[in-house]
Amino acid sequence: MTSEVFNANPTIVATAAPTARRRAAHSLWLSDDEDSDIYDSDDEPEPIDADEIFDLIRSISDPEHRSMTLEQLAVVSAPQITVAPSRILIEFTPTVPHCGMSTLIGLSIRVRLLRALPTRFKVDIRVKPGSHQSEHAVNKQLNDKERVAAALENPSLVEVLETCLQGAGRRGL
Amino acid sequence: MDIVLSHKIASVAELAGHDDRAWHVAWNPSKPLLATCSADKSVRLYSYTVDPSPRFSLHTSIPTGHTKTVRGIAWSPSGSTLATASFDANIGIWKREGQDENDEEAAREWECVSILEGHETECKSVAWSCSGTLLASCSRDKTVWVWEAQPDADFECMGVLMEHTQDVKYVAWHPTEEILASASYDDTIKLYLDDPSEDWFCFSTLTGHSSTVWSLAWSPNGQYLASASDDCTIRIWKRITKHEWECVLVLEDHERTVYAITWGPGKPGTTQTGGESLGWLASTGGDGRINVWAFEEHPDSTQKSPPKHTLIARLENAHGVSDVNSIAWCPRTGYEDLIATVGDDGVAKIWKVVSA
Amino acid sequence: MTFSGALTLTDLNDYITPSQACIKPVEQSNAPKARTPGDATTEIQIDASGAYYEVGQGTTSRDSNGGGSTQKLQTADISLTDCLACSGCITSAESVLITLQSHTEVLSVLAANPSPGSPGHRVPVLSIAPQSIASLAAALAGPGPSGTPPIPLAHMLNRVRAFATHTLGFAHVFDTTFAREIVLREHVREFFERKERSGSSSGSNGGGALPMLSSACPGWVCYAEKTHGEMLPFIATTKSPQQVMGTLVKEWLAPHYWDKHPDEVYHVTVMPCYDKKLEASRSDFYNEQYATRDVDCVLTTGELLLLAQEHGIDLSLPVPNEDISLSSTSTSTSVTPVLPDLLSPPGSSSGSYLHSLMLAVAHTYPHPLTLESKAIRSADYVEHTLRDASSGSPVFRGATCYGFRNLQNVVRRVGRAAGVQVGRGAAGRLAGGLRNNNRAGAATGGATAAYDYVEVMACPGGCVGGGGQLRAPERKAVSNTNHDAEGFVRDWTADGVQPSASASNISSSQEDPNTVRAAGTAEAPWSSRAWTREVERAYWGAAHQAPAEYEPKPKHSLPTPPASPKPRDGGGVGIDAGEGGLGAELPAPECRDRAKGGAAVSRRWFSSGADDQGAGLSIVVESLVARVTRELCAPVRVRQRQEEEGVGFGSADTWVDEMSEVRRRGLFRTQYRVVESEVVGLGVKW
Repeated sequence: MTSEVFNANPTIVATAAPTARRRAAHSLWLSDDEDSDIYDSDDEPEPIDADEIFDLIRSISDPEHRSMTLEQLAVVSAPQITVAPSRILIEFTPTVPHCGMSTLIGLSIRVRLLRALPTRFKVDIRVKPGSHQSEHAVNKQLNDKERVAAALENPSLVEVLETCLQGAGRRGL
Repeated sequence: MDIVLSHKIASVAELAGHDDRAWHVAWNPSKPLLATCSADKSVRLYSYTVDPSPRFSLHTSIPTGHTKTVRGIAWSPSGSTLATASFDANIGIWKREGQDENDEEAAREWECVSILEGHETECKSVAWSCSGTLLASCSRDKTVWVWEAQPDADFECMGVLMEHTQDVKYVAWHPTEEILASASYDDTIKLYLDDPSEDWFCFSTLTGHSSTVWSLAWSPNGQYLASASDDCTIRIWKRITKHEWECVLVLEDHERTVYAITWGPGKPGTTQTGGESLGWLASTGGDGRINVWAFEEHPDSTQKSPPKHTLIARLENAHGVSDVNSIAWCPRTGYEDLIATVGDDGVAKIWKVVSA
Repeated sequence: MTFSGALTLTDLNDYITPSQACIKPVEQSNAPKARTPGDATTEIQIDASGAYYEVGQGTTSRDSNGGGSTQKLQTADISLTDCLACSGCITSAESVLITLQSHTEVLSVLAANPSPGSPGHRVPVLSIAPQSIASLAAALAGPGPSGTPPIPLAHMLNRVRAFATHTLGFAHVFDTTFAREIVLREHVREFFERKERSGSSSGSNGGGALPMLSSACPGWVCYAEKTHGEMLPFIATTKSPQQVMGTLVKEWLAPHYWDKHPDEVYHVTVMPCYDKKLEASRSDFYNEQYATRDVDCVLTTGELLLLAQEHGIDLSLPVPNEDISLSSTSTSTSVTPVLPDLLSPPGSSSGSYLHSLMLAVAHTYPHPLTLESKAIRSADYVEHTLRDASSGSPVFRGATCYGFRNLQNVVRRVGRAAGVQVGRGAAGRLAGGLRNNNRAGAATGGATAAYDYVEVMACPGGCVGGGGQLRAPERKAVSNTNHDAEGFVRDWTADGVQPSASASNISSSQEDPNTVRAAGTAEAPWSSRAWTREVERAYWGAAHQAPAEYEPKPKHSLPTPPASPKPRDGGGVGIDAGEGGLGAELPAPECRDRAKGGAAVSRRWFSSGADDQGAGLSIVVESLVARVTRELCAPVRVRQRQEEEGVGFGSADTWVDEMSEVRRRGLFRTQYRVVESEVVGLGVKW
């Protein structure tokens, strides 16, 4: 990709096993259709926890290091996810504080959840406090739904996003 | 949230049809028409009758030809022209095809008579001045443009205002004067005037919101300006002197971003304390809630005193779990208690504010 | 954002704040270096020349030849061409401009220049634009009361000349007006070529359509290339005065008179505009053969003044013999043709492109003409119509159009009249629409008749108000705090903001635009508009104080208004620092309409055969232009043969016309191309 490399030498962490508990418990998980909601709309909404959200986003590729996932780069982790009845807060940690890819990483997380979660969830995405030099600007942009909507109508941006999301359906590993 | 309010918000109609998120709703000021626009790139026009009770039916759906989301719409004061603002950076100007408005079939055809290009990125909002001669538009490119309508459906650019430091979200004209207000991602509101010998210029910047300002609404008498923000508040700015506006009130009654506000005359004869009625303000946003406040001028109001305000009605989950993106009071005399909303569910809903 | 980042710089009054980081890709040869566990971290050091080194903090860090490894880091190289192709960055573009074409760059080149005669010596040449001289003349006239006469341009030029030659060591100092004279002629020639073409063939394809739009403003050209590709066929292909000056210096003076190759000359220009830096770096103006640019470095007026200040030179002080013009303070070789100083054709202070074209039209038209001038809303957009004096039918329609807003309307209007869709082909996108527009396009004979020519400049007020010009000098008046909330210096008055406590003092005041507002107490600071008018005054002051032989002779009923005929009516509404009070009313809308309509000024134009310049000047210029054409445009082979045969150039009418035509075009014309600034991939901003 033709762009400045923000972090040429990222630290890679060992990944955890996928949350097998969930896999076993819900047959829906076995369906790999990432565009379908994970719940049938007719069903009574079931509670959802941080591990499940983490499963949805852990395998998103890093835009800068395509072969690595956000989990491997420790950009996302289950403890950084807070779930309330209809609200989900996700914090992520850019690999370097000046990471120019942060808005793109955040956008890929948002798009992933937009596609996978039922609409009843209001999702807030933020960089971990203190982890980015433009923290406020990145947060603001990621949570402006108009900016996100417009971004998703930008073909060249969508192209990049789709690449990042290609492996996201793996949900772990 | 069990508070006893004087009014309640009753459903009148639900108008599904958009295939994607609906962004904006606008009542035609002179004809019984309601327009909605959507990420599906179409504009839907609904006609309505009010006798004996309001009934809505689809008038026409315009596949605008915009290549991206139609984000904003605005009727000219005469009601004959519609402007569309799109993420494709263009503004479309639409008129009814044919001259004979009595020809029912021809009247359903709307044609694009002009395209205004100039913005470099997504156009977010358009607004006609009270006289209908000026059109304002704004964009993520940080600019606000003022256009003047010429004969033969052409438009001349009267000014390019590069005052905001970020994305401009909304533009609104004063109800009686040629004062333009713009709201921005840079958390500020800017007010502009025309200098006849030079250019349009910004004469005031209103600061106070701590996040994006999404929407603006002038009070019907032009003495107040309301702003809705991502900081979950609504601010009321009062005209202190001719060219000075100050925040006199902050309303905190939303739990997520306030995306839209509308200020209408309200039902006559509903003031609580006998002061002059300033009309009804309705707000909505990411929390799906609709709030309606009644505003009155205090009989003993001073230059900087806030207006008296009373929350008279509230509705939760107006569009189910969806965000509500736009709200507008019906301009029709006698139906000032009708209100329209659109949401992420692509549905347009009509409500009536009735005594509880 | 509306303009390119480049143009934003031009128009510093637009206050666009930095928004985007530079996204120029940097190729890294990431040779993986073995990293031993526990290796000490490295440190970046900068040496005296500014080079960056990565220094290993090894065991023996002080050991220069071993131990702590020192590795010179690659410097990111961002050329101006890169910036031209980018959509947004402002901060980066600005810093790039500052580092690559700055006054420090000029100083370091001059310092490193071997002495004359030594190998590698480059002849330093400075060319300054008349608008820059006017800016200096106005700003350095002293902080006196309004009405202080500006320094005559000829004097100012000689002061710059003295400073540049004596202090900086420039070998030659020119102004660019002679180059502009050539541009004007080429411009006229191109116009008639286009007119002929549009008259003969039905389609205006193949480039070169009417109306012709001026090409001297790089801000406009750059904007058109990025966002209005459909306008490019209309933009004159004639080079700007700066680039023709570059051609004259490097292709004509250097080889013919200084015995130098183009790369043996270091050519610096001083311009009123930042975008001229970008213009100079266009690939068209790069000489592949000698790996050199026609203009090596562009300084703004402000940077020239900075240069003088840093050398302790006060340009407001007279220099000996500054009133003697036609100076050839240039060194030695007297064979060198002397370029006349400060040619100032009547018309506009932005180059008189429209005016000289109208003169040419009048020359060729067999009957007397009348000129009708009409301001559209302001003096920055004036329409000029030449009519047959007897029949009243229009012969030529033109306009001067300055500033971004007016430029938008010209683009819309030209596009509409020519049936070209404005913008990036959005037309076809709006399905089913625009039938009305097509009708309008067909009916161009109506109220909005098509132009033949438009003089387009991106800055309000034209080139005298360029972004590189000097700021208005401080008045003695108490200046209000000019820093905004974020600490940026702002011109509140120009901003439409009343800087005092009475922030809403908006009053209407009738005032003569020529006089600086005289407030009740101390004089208010210059508004940017008023200051631009002051520079305009300095610009034209020269025309009257220039040496007698250059005095435009008021022959016939020539409208020799210094400035283009601008109706000076229409109620001026200003932000008044004085009285007015809070309750002051804006004028009623009718007032605006009146100002907008503008009074149509109709005046008797000259009959054909008019001559716009004094005879003396005419002869000098004519012979010089002929010499340039002869020496530059003669086909090389013919010229060589002449030289071999010892035939003087003067007698040679043997050269092939077509060959010289091709050569002339090669020298004085350029081309434009649509710039796709779409950023792809990770660089996309949303």
